[in-house]
Amino acid sequence: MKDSFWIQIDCESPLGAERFWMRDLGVAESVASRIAREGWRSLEAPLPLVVAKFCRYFLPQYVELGMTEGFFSLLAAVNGAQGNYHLTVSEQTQLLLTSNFKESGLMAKLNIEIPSSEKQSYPNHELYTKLVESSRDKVVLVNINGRQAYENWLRLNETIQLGLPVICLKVYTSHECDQWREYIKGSGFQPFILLHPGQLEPGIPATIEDEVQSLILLPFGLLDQFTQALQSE
Amino acid sequence: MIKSCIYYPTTGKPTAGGQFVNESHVIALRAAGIRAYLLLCSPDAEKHGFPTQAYVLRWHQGMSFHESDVIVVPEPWKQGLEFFAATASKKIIHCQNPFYMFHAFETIEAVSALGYQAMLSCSYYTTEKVRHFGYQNPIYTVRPFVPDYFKSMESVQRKLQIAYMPRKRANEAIYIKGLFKSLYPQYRQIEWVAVENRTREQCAPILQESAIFIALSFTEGLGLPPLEAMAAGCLVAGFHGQGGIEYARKNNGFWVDEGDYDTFAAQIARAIETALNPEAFEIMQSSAIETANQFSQPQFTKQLMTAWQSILGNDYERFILDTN
Repeated sequence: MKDSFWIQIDCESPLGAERFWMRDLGVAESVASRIAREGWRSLEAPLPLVVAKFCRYFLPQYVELGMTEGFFSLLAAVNGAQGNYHLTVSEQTQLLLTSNFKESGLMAKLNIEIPSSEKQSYPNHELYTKLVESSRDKVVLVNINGRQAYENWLRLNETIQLGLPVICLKVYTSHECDQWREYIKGSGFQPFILLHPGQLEPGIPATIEDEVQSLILLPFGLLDQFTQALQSE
Repeated sequence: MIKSCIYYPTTGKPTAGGQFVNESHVIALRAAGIRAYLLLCSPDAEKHGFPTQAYVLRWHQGMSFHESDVIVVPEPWKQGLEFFAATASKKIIHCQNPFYMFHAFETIEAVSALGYQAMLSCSYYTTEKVRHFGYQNPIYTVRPFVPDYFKSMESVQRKLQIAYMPRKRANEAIYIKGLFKSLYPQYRQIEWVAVENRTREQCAPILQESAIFIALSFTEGLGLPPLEAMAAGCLVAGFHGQGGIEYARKNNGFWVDEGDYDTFAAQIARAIETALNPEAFEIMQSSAIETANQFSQPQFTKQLMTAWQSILGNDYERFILDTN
């Protein structure tokens, strides 16, 4: 059974070693295959190290929007994230996510919502309540993926405006610049471009030299702590 | 606390007896709630398909092996033994053939010198052999099992035909066949069916419909094909291949000493005569099936888990799968 192929991901840090497992779908461009070829730190670098450092520092609630194989949320979970909330996943993605979390012994940290239709109220009330309840006194880290991520983020952010400190991570491409610049104007977030795991550049540039770049939206007042997290081991 | 693993490295899908045994170890450990994987070390292997019920990890450069992990390496695989010797993990040899022990090691002392701390063995014969070499570290004997799909089926009509697996003695198989037909012309018309180029499961129906199986075992640690044939209800004649003395008895087969080809031909003739006598056939078939039944899955699982409880000791809990 091809399904039984797995990749082991070992994350070493000065605080210790952690590991998790992901299905190897046998597709060259799958996340697991890329990690096997290039190492876990290289996937959308430097985001993996940032997520790991951030989670070790803040022990946040972790929310993932859009389709995913679960790499970042598994990484977050083994590095101290308290809960992993996946919103807007397909049934197929749910199966993949669930098997990855199950194999990694992290099922207790996984919360998934599957929209039954595009018109479904978003996010699911029960899951949303659980997210808000479990996030009290915690930082929320939101990682945005996929084509409809922007719209999903807007909907989530509308409902989550209850004073929770939310940090948004977004890997975006050049054509999305204008859209995000427009959004940020009145959003209450400070935008930063992530250069290295310890370096932030304020703003969102008009053009992007690389094909993709990591955008971080920080709530005002959290910059110092975030910088400390990035500079931690 | 990091989740610890048992790894059984492999270079491809199981095709030979020893590889099937490694696969069965991983499947049984998993079923018992222990985190165990086949570790695929050949990047091209999956291109050729890898049908298995075992969990397979694809090795990659970024993998780390920790002190608490255990790696089980086959005894003849020099490259693999040397590669994993450099890891911090606990390392164990899975010796499934004492005759291959020195393919990778110059002497028996070199096993411990390379950092391999214990051994799994596939038979009491192999264990005794390795002890005879002078190996002093722990050896855990875990005998493999014969899968149920080999079991004799009353619904299948048995033919007076001779099944044989020529892989290990292709040249001698031709000689023995010709010698037998020359010395016993009255049995020339009996068909010989070569069991080759098939999956293990595909071999079973041929054995189940054959009255006789010719054992061409050669320098074995145990020798599974004669056991599979016994389970399938064949009368077995031929070489025990050293490791087969673990189960070869006068009442369960027509066994032959190494190199005694004339006796081999005579034993085939005796097997045919027995097959032609329903009462005699049933007596020997029952003994053979009883022997094969000693290599049952429950017995295998019991030995495997006893071995691993001892190997893992106080670390056992670190290997328990938490899939909730």
